[in-house]
Amino acid sequence: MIIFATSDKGGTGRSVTSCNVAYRRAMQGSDVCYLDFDFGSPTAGAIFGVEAAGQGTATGGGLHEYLAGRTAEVDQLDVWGQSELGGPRARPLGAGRLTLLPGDSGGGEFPVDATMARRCSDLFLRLDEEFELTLVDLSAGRSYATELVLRATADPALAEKTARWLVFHRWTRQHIVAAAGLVFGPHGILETGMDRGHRRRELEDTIRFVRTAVLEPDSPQLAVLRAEQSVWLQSYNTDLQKLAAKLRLGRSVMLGSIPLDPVLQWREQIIVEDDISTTRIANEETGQAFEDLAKRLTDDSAWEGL
Amino acid sequence: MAAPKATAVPRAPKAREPAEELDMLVGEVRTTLLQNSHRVGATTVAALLDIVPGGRVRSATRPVAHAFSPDVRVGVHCPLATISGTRADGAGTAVARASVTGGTVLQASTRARLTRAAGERRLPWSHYVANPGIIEVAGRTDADDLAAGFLTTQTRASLDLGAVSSRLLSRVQRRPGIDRVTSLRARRTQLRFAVTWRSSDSAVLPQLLGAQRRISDFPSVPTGSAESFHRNSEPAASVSPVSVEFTIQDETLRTLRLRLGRCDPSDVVAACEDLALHDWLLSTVESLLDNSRIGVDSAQEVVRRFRPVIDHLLHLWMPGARVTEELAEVWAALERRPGFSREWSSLVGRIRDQLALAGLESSSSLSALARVAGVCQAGAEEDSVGA
Repeated sequence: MIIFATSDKGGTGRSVTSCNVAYRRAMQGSDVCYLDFDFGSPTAGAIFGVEAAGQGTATGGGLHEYLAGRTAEVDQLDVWGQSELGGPRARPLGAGRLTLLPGDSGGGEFPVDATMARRCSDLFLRLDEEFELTLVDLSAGRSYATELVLRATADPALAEKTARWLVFHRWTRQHIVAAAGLVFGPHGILETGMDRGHRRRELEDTIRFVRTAVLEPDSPQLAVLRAEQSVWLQSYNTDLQKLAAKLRLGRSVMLGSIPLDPVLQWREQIIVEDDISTTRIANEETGQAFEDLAKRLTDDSAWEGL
Repeated sequence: MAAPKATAVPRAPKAREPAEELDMLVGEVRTTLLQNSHRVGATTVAALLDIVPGGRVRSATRPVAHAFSPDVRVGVHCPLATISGTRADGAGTAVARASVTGGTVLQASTRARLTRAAGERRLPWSHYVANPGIIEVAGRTDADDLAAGFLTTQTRASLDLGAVSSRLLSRVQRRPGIDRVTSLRARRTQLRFAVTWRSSDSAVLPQLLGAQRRISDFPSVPTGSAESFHRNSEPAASVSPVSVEFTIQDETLRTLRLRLGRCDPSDVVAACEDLALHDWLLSTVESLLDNSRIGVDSAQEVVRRFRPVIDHLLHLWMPGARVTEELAEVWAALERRPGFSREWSSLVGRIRDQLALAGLESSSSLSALARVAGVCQAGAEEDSVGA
């Protein structure tokens, strides 16, 4: 299964959430690969703690170079072996593989052509041979990367492969409007997808939304709020819910909601069990939200057509 | 302790000017699972492998269904990796073919014979096209240097036959006729091989890989730090000494360095494909067993996880099935160490044990169910008697 992660605006926590979801999914036993398609600023290496590819790789074997046809093979970095995530550079017991295909340092956006789309679909097919989950982190907004993967997934050779989309947005008015625009608006995912041979209805059924940095009004974090703040927050939250529903981002198409967690604001990295239970710098709810989201990626009941 | 080296024959004088004769075979096999929900029939396989217009797909049905495509030619002009760092350039063509075994396993192998270029200058392409499968080498290097470089120190710029194989795999995987539904997840493995010939008898059968050339004897090369198994056969007067160095470089890369007596290069390629197939079977089944939580979950759950292995892979184990008599010694050496069949039977044993356990679990739960059912029935009878 291929999962695309996208967002309209930067700073939504798309990459850090996707990396955490990939990590959780691998911990749950699946073989997972993570593709850094954020060509302008590849940061997945830093989030996973893989030093060799902190800001993309410099070997000339990243995704950007592969898609441009300058290298035949993409570097595949074993995250367990090259970071401290699973303990001392080893895969935790019972965990699946967690592999990073990095971007290139100094890469950038580029126009898409048919050869590139073919290379991209070849890569997806190839990775699907060995990984249960291929998680592709796209750059923010209407990017060449988005157009590229829409072309690649329209390839008849990928007809039997399941591809799903996660659109990340923060729980604010501007972010909700922007996320709706990215999916339903002009030159959005649906429109571009149709231009590339996708059927609108089918494509729409493969798109779900993930809310990030959400302050739930009943969260214990908010116990310190003054009564006025609390009342205002409650009513504003209701307004946002109405707006989201009106713009077709309602609860029925929401796959996950990641609570606001200070540790994610300051340290864009993987939250491991130790962060929650030993050092307690991260909230338990955050870990649980990642865990649930990781499970729902392949839970068909969460992806039924509406 | 290392076996006595069979390289007692004195080397040619050290002088490399003019360069000594060169004749070696290099190649890389990539192996993966054909992407189809079930075993593919012979007719479909033939259509899948029909990738060269006018070419002929060859097939055999015994002992296991096997078919291979006609050769695809690939032009090559690039530096060759050497372990010494000596500069060497290659120009010519490599040939690649795809094969399907048991309607299930897909392989692509690319090979080339390296020979000495007549001069430093590159000739018109017509010259190279006329000699398919031959790469002419310019540079002051020898076969051992090239072999070690090819096996272990390839860079992005140097000759990469594996990339050709990989592209060929992808090409077959996207052809019509297969549904691309994955029955089990398996990694692609790579087997890189480099072969030189020991006796002064040249390799025969020139039409497949090129003109007949004289070859010389080469000393052994040091192997890498990876897990490696080598074996030199005892030098004997009548038999050509054979040496086999099989090295597991990492999770997916294996290298094979062969020093052989007189034999046909196309037989060597077939033997390498056969070895790659069995190595892939071992790697795939082993990693599936490792991840099936044996001893943690119930045997029935464990069996459910590796069921695709039973359905699709177990019956494919037939080591040496496509290896000629002359090369039987290569398989024999690998069977002694690392002991492919020994490892395989241990894996199969684990699978059978889990199956037996699952059977026991289900029969005990069945008898438990039967007991419960019996009690219920008895109760019901009592009820009816009571009524």
